[in-house]
Amino acid sequence: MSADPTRPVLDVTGLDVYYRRRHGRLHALRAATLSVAPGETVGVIGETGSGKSTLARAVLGLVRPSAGRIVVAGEDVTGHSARRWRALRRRGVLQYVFQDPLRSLDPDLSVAESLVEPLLIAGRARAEAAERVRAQLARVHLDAALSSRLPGELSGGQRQRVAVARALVTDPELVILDEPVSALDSANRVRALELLKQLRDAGTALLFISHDLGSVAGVADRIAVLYQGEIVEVGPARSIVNKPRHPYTRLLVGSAPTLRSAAADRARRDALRELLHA
Amino acid sequence: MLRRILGLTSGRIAVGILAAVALLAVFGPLLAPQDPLAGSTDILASPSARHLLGTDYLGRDVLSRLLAGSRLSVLGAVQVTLMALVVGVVPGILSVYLGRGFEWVTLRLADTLIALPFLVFAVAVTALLGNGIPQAMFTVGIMVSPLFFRVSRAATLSVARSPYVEAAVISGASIAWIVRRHLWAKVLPPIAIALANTAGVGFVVVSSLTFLGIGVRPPAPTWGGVLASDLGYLSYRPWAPLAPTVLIMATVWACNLLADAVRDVSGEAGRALLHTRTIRGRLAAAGRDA
Repeated sequence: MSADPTRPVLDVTGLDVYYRRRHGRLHALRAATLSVAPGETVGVIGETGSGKSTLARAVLGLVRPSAGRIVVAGEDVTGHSARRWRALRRRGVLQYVFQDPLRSLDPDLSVAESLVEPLLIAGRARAEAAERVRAQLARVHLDAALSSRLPGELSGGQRQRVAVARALVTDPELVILDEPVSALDSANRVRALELLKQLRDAGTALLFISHDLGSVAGVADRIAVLYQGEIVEVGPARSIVNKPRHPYTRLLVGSAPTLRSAAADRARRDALRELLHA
Repeated sequence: MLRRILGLTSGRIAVGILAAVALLAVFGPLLAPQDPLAGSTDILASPSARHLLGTDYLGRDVLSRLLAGSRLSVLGAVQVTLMALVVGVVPGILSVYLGRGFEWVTLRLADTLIALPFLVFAVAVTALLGNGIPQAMFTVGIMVSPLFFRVSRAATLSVARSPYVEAAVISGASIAWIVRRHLWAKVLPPIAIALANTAGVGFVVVSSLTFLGIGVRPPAPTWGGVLASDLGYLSYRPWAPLAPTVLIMATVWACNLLADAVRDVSGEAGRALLHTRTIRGRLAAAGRDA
C-alpha cells in the first residue's frame, strides 16, 4: 500500500498535550512515544481519561501538542498550519472511525452521500467516486440497496459498517478507530471485529483505541497501554496478555472475567490496585 | 428545493401569493387607474364605480394609491430582509469559524445594536447619509440583524461541534464545503422563519418611519402609508383599513407559510414527511386499483 514498506505510517515521539482548564491545566498526554508500521495493527488500551482519544486527536491534527513530534506517512506534521493539514487530509492517507456511528454521520445525508464525501473533497470525479463507494459497500458487507437510506434508518451494526466504509474509501495507509465496537451489541461486535481483521489482512494499518482489552487482544499485533496520560507498556499483543509487566496492565488483564472463583480474582485485583497507587 | 416546496399544498399557496405580490410590485404602478397623487374635492368617499375603494382625506383614489405603492412597499421589505440577511446571517455563521477575536467583536456589536434605541439610530443615520429609502432600509436592516445573527449563530454552533462535521474536517473539507454540505440544511429553517417575520416587520416599518420624515416622503404612496392615513379617519370610513391590511397580511402570511414549507421539506423531518406522503400516496393508488 505505502511506497516504502519500512517507513512507519505513524511515528509519534515524546508527545505532550495539555488542556487548559479553569483552574490550571490538565496534562492529558506525557511523553507518549508510539509507532505504527505499514499494515500493522496497534491497539491502544486504557481507562476513561487515560488520554486515548487525546492521542488520536493529536495525530489527526485536531489538538495541538505542546511538545513532541508526529510524523504521518513520512510527513512531519508537528508544526503544520491549517492549510497544510487540509492538503495532507485531502490525500486521504489518514482516516478516523468515530465511537458513535450515529452522531458521526450527517442525519440529512444518505449512506451514498456520506460515503462519497471524502472522495469529492479529495477532488475525484463524481462517477469514479460513486464506483468506489459501491466497491466499499461490498467490502463491508452492506447491501447496495441501503445506499439511499438515511443513517436513522439503519441498525447500529450497519451504521458502524458505513462509518468504517467511509474511512476506507480513500484507501488510507492508517485508520484510527476510537472505540469502534463499544457502542455495538455482542453479535455485532464480533462481526465488526471480523471486519477489522479483514482490513488488517488487506494491508491497512490500524490504530485501534479501546478500553476493553478483550476486543483489542484478538485483532492487534502490538498493544500499547495508556495510564494517566503515559504509555506504561508496549509490546506484542500476546506477551501483554500473557506476561503483563506493569501493575496497571496486570490489573487490566486481571479485570477480565475468568472461570476462577470471584473472591480470588477480587483479592488479586485489590493487591494490584494498592501496588499501583503506592 | 423549490420542487419539494411546491410538493406541499402550503408551499404552493405561499409561492402563488408571493408571485402575485411580485407581479403587483412590477406592474402595480402601471395598473393604477388614476393618478395616485392627484387630489379632488371628493374626500373620504365610499366605494363607487369611479373609486373602487373610495378616496382618502385628500380625495385621492385609494385603489390607485395601493397599486402605485406596492413597488415601494415590496422593495422596502425585500431590502430590509436582504440587509438583515447579509449583516446578520453571514457574520452569525462565520463567528463560529473565524476564531475568538472575530467572535468577540461580532457578539459585542450585536449586543450594542440590541441596546441601541431605534429612533435615535435612524435619525443619526439620516444625518450622516442623507435621507432616502435605501438609507432608511439600511437602518432598519441593521437594527433587525442581531436577530438573524443570534439565530444563525445558535444553529451553526449546534452543528459545528458535531462528529459528522469533524469527520468532514478530517477528510480535508474547507469551511465553505462544511457550510454548503452540512450546515446549510440545518441553519436554513430557523433563518427562514426569522426571515418571514422580518419581511412582515419591513412592510410596517417602511411607513412608520415616514412620520419622522425618513425614508418614503409623504405624497409617495405605500401600503403602510395608506393604512396609517385610513386609521386616522376610522369614524368616517371604518371599513377603509381593510384593503391595505389584507394586502400586508396576505404577504406576511405567505412569507410565514413559505418559511414553514422550507422547514418541512429541509432536514430530517422534511424527508420523513415527504416519505410518509409518498407512501400514503402509493397506498391510496393501490387502493384505487384494487
